[in-house]
Amino acid sequence: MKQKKIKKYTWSMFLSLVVCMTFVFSGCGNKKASESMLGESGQATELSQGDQAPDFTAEVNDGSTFSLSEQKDKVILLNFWATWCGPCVEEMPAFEKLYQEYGDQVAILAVNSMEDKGTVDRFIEEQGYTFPIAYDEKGEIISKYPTDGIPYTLVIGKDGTVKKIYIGAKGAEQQYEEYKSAIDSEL
Amino acid sequence: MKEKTDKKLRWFHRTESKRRFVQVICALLYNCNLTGFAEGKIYQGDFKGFCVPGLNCYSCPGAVAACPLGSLQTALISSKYRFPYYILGVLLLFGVVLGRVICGFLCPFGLIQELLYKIPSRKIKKNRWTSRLSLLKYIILIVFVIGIPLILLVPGFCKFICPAGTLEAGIILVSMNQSLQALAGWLFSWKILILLLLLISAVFIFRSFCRFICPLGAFYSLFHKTAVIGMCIDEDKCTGCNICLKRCQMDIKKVGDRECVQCGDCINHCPANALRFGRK
Repeated sequence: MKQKKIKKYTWSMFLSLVVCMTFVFSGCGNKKASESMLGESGQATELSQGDQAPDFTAEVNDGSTFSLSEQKDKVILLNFWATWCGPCVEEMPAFEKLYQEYGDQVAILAVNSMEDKGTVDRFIEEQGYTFPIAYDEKGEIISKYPTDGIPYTLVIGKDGTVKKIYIGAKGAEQQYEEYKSAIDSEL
Repeated sequence: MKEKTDKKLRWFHRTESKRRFVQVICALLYNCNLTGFAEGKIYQGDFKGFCVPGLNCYSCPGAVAACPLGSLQTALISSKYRFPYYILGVLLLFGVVLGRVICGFLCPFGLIQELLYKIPSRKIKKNRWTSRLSLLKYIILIVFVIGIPLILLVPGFCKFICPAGTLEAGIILVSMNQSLQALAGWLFSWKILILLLLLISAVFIFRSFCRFICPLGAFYSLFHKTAVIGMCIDEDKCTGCNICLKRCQMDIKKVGDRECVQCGDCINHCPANALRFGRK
């Protein structure tokens, strides 16, 4: 009888623990999202085509600051990546090529996802990329652009709305073609 | 005599259910972001920066922490730019303290396989071939977990093999997200095939994935002599009857060797009470 009671007590303790943990973890996702982008669950919602691209300000590797709201009348190619992400690294020559081709006509920015500056700098130095790469050590920018996976790339039109969304990448050449046609249709 | 056998049987069931209880708690604690399952979204909070000891996919919608094997591969990919201090330290710590106790007690995928093995069917017992096949996991560790990430910059094991990832994350996320459905190609079909083969094999072969494939178990097995906790043999009491080896379903040559998942089932079969589980 006593043993049964103990068993019941253990199970109820265990169930309460699981329920508590569930509440804790469902509530501590990305809290940094701007209020305007908060969905019903309190977390930033994933963007869809036609949505207004959330504004952010980022520190770029050349020392300048990139602000989305200051890119008016420009098509923006916004990418999220990391050095450990194979497909992200693989498609980067596409951004370099587009940057060389379009110059100031298109604002290209590759936002690194939560790695430290030193890691990002070593990567850029080794690869020799010249297009703007931004740091996001604390994940403040990516929290406004929630995604289940990277590479995550958005083409944002001159009106500031999201025109195309890409999750994943199929190599530099194919991605170059994809991004180029999306940019051209917005120019 | 009968009373003694009954007592021992009760003890066996008690220890077995205790281990099962720990396994279930672990599986639930690793995956307690239950709302993630409903939304088909991955939890990305700060706790995801930590690793759990067992094999549990980072991308499982319920997962609240990272998989050590997945973390190791991604850290090796970018090791040129940043030395993977955290993951190497954590893996060494888990290995030195617990070793393959993690396989027996703290791995949700081990639990799934043990439950599948309970399905009544003809079972394939350990033999010379299963013993040889158990070396495969070391090759997978070297090639897919270390070699491919370092050379080809791809998380080889996660990408091409891991059935835990397909079961816990791949199927759920792909079925719930349209954008991911567009990305699923031959690789997804390949991984579904691997998963099905391993799940079906687990019905007939005890812990087939752990014995032949799991590189995390292979890594932890390297600590079988140094792990703080695990199976201990009292050499003075041991009569060398080898009942423990015969009753064990893993490909062990000695209790507590690198193939032993430290489940402790042999304690109940030892007629000389020479086995115990605890601090070595």
